[in-house]
Amino acid sequence: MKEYSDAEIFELLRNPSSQREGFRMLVRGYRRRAYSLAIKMVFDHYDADDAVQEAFIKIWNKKEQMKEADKLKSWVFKIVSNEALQTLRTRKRKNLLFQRNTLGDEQEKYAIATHPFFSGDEIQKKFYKAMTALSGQQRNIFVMKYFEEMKYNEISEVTGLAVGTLKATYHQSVKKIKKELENV
Amino acid sequence: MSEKDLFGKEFESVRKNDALKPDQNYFDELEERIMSRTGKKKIRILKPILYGSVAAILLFALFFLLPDDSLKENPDNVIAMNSEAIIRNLDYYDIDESTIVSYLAETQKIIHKNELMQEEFRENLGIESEDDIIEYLIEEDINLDNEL
Repeated sequence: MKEYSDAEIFELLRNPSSQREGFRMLVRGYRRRAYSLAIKMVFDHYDADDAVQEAFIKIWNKKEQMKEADKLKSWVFKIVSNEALQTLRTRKRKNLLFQRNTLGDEQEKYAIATHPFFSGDEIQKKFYKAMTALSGQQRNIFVMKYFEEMKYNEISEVTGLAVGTLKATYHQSVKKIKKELENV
Repeated sequence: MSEKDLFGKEFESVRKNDALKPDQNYFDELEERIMSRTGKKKIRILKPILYGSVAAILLFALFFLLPDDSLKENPDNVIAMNSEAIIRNLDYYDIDESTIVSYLAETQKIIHKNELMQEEFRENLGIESEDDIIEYLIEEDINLDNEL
């Protein structure tokens, strides 16, 4: 099936008669990247699945608010990362409430080890486990920069944070991961 | 230093190969799940019908649970209420159910058509209670068919 550009998806979304087709193309175009962002933030497949699904439903419900075609990507990433951050916050609250392991602890490492689609080796597992030492926002920024190779100004559009803040956060995240990799 | 070299050669595969990537079937299934949740228009049409039906059933049930006094305010309701009382006691009073039904139907017609007759009818039947109507019918030995 033909891959649609953001501009084409945007046009389809604007027209009520083609909205559903446009939305399907948007889901198809961004589902992998949305999942990739969510899973590297929450590390649990089922939580990531929920976050992605909820994010796309929010996108559908707010499609009229989408005003510019060239902002489509950052709009999608923003909603997905917000959902993932919300998942982390909820998880943290639950863990505190029930006095279970706190964020970044064994729970997430276990989720990585038991991920139903994990296809990597021990090196990759080690790296992901090191990433669990990052806070939610650090993960968000790190994934967009390191894995998605987004530019700082793009990440700034998604997070609403200044480029300087992003650079500092990314630098701290890299340092933290390096330290964790040495310790693991 | 580029992102590639950040963590050394050992970890290059982390970026090259996304080890947490589900297969194509998963993404197709995810897409269908999402799409199915956006097709809510049918539910929006069905919901009012569903709620309407539930409300109708509740109102119907409520009508039969209402205290008798609330029905007395409306003569039509009084007739309906009294008809139920008569029908409940058909065996005892030896009155044919179809007779009562036709009587009530005609009664309602009369009441609506003629105010004077309605007043007279209400006086004669004494609508204060169900028992009054039943007693009146028995004591006067009224043949409802003939009366109407």
